[in-house]
Amino acid sequence: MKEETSNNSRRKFLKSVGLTVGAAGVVSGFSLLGAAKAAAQEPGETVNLLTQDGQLVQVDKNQLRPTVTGPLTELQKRGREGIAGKSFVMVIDLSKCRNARKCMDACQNHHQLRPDQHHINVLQMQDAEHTAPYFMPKPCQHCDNPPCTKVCPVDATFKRQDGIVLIDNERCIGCRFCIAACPYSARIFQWTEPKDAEKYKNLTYNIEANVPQKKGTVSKCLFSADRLRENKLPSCVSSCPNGVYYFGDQNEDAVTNGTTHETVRFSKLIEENAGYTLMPELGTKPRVYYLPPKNRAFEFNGDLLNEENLH
Amino acid sequence: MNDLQEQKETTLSFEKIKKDILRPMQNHKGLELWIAFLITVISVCAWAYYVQLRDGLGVTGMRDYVSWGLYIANFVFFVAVSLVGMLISSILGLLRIDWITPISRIAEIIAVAFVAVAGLVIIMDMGRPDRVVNVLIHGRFQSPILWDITVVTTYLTISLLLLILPMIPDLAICKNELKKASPILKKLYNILSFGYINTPSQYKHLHKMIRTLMVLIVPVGLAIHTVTSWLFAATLRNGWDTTIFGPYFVAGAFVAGSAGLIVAMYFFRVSYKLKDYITDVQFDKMGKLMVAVCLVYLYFNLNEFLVPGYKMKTGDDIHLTELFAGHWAIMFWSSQLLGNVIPIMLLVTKKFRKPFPIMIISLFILAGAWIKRYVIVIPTLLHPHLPIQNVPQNFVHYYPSAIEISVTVLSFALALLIITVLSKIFPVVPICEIAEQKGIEVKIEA
Amino acid sequence: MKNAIKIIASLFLLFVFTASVVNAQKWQAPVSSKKKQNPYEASTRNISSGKKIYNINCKSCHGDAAMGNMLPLQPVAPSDLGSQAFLIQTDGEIYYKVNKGNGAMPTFEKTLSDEDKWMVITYLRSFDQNKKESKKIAEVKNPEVTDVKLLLDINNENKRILANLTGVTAKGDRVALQGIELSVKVKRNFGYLDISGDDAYTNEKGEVSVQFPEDLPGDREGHVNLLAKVTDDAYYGEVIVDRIASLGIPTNPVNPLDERAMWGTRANAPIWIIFSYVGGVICIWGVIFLILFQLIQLPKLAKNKE
Repeated sequence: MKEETSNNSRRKFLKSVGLTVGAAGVVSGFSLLGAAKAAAQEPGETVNLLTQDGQLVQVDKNQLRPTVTGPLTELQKRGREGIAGKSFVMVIDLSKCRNARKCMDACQNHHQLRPDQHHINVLQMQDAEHTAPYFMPKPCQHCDNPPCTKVCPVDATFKRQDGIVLIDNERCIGCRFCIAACPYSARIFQWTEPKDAEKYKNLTYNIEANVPQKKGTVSKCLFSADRLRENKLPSCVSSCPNGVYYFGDQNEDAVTNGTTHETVRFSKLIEENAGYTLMPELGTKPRVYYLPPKNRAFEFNGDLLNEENLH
Repeated sequence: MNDLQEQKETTLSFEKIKKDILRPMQNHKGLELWIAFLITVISVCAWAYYVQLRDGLGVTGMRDYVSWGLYIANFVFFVAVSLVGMLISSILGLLRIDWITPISRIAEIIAVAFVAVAGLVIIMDMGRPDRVVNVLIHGRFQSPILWDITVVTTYLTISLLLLILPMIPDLAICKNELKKASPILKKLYNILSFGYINTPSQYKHLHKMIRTLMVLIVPVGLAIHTVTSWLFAATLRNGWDTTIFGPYFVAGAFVAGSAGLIVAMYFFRVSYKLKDYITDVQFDKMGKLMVAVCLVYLYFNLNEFLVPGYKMKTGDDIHLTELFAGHWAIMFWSSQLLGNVIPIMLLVTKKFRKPFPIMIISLFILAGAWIKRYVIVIPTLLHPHLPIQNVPQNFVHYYPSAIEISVTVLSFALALLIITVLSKIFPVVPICEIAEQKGIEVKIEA
Repeated sequence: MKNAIKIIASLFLLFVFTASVVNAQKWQAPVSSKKKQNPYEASTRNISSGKKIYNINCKSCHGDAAMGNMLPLQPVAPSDLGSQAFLIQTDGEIYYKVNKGNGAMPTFEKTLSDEDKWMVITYLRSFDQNKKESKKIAEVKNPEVTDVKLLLDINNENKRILANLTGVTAKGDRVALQGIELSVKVKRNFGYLDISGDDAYTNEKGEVSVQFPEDLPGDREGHVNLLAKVTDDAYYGEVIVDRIASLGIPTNPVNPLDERAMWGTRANAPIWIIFSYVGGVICIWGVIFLILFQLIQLPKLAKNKE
């Protein structure tokens, strides 16, 4: 008999949790008003809400009001400001890359891109005629002297305080000057209706993930800025099966490997492995560092080695 | 020769000048057919632009690597041709060179038409033309595009003023003479003639304004083409990353503009029967001017290609090899030879500076100038610093699509239509200035 | 007809299956490699250090040893390195395969030192049912204790962290626990930076002394979030302590947006370019408007016959 009761209560508890999850989804666009205001009103139905600090609270429905600022403007505002005190860097260990392309898949999935649209692209490189070929994943370099944001006529692409270069597709006029200006070919353009445009039609635009993608605007890698806000590694970093990517905050002098989750000193990693940046002669000051393809984990199995594929 | 000309000129009277120049405005069947044809072409091609608006820029041949194509080449070409207004009526005008008097208005009309269409072409190239107002709201001072848009609109405004202001006395004549014109046109003449009756103070006042504008357009004209060149020179790409692009573009613009003017001169001379005004002298002088600007342009080309070609830096080597001997060789050499070197060689002889030969040569120069812009824009984009990989085959090459070509035709037809309409409603040769130059008294009734 | 398709399909599946099995089994280390012996003994320390190396270099594909949670890769899934089927190989064979790699398996010939590779093999061998005798030879015997406590004593002067591990015996005495490996870590944005070094085993006083890196940045005030724990939960469950300590170098994050720059937003445009633009526009358009103003005065001048 006693056991039954406890069983019952557990079921009840589960039920209420289920309800909470459902409700949290519905009322996310509402805010809590002051308790004083609510006291004046008749107590009505209550709902369970998850507060921002992760606490479950029971709230009177009368206390719920639509938030004053639309979620879009809020997303735009915080997206343009960036995360204070951070300075994100990426380290790509070329000796570990075997062209598995899991990064490309994860990225295209996250940012709603077609298979031929690359925010990150794994290139087969050969620097000179007799040098060894290697695979080089190439995301946006998030330069500290970005040639792309220099030329934007409308502040649609810009650098934030945490070093990330973003694009505001609610403002971009589609002049494609930034594509011409980028020496790393990191930018793409939505020439036609983006992938699954119909499906995501009603989704609020998130500047930090650049989704939903918009026709007639420019798009590019943004270090998965939406994931960084939740202290998650970028999609490409955490999807790599071979430990190619390290990502972290330069201000903390630490980068974390997306595969092994090992955290190492950024400065040591760069120093001990002779890290470099792409085309330093252009003065773009990239935030993506490369470790040379020495002592490789895999043999190169690419198919290039002729002039045509090189350029 | 000169004696013969002067003899002929003395037979001109003010009445005859008025009659000759106003005739095609009143009665010209061919012109109306031509306008109808242009409007048909424009309406058909406007459909192509509608398709582009509806389906996105994906209907063009442009893709992620060649992200600027035919449209930007056209834009640079239009801006280049429009610079003739500044060259002829301002620089030569300020130098008080008198043979330009009969052709200065044609030059201004070309300037207005081409710079106006250049502005439209930029909008046609935009992915989101509905957001063009963002440039005004959020315009960044650091972006060459803001400067470009500013300079294009300023140049259009000053060119319009430089078209209308010297025309005020002529418009006063139109107001009086063209009794059969439509009421709208009459009203236009009435407003734009600003009550001008050629009093000494009005004359002095007007010419002071014109001279001020002539000075003003020089920096704006230089700026429009320099800023346009910065759209390319401000990037880090091989073939664009060069410091001489500003003056190089200006020199090229003088070539293209002069050629455009010569072609227009020839057609107005024949179609409007203006042999007595746009004489062989103008063609001869324009031919000499053409040799001069072509030589300057050749000099810049030499610098632009010989210096990097001598060093063959990484990146530059592929670009230059493709231009000189690769995929772009035919276009490159035809633009250099047919559009520059051969015209110089031909135009130094007098017989090629006769109206018909020089018009044919100018057509080649114009075609060469357009091809030159095409090979400035596209090959560079096909050779980025990092290899083009993991993209469909059509990303690796660039061929303009039918839609793109139609929209290009639309912009050219639009420019021609503007020129035609302006030359239909305004006298293409300045009546009063010609008369003044010949020492004939100008009489304008109130 | 249907049957025929079924037969073909099953034949095909069988073929694919056998092919993959054959493929998987194909990777044989050469006979010469078999004889190589692991020069390191199966001590707790070696196993523990092998586990660390395993977790960093092998776990992402092979999963936890003996747990069967490897990545489902195609066409050949990584083996469970803790399974008997794998451990049937000699140390030499495993060493060979780790060195050479095959297909999706990287070569560790140059990325891991010999010692590291043998440590991993020592760790894997600890799962071997047939070699039970070599499993976990504890060097020090600690008494059975309850209420295990980990205390941190931080010396800000020389940036040393002293961790002390104690427990209460059945008699009720609090005694030091010896020979237990501790991990001292610093919290970073996406993970924990291990600063414990190679030899973080408690001494007879139950103490481990860790040097905090001289140049490791903290926050604005130099605060860092320290975390110390008993590395292996198997001993006393999860024993963990975290502490905010001001051991780091105070950082003053530079906001790149504070300076005016060509690449900045319009609000951060260099002053001279704003002046050039605004000045240029005002001058040119000023003259244009002046002329327009004069132009509308032209009709008035008609009366002035002078």
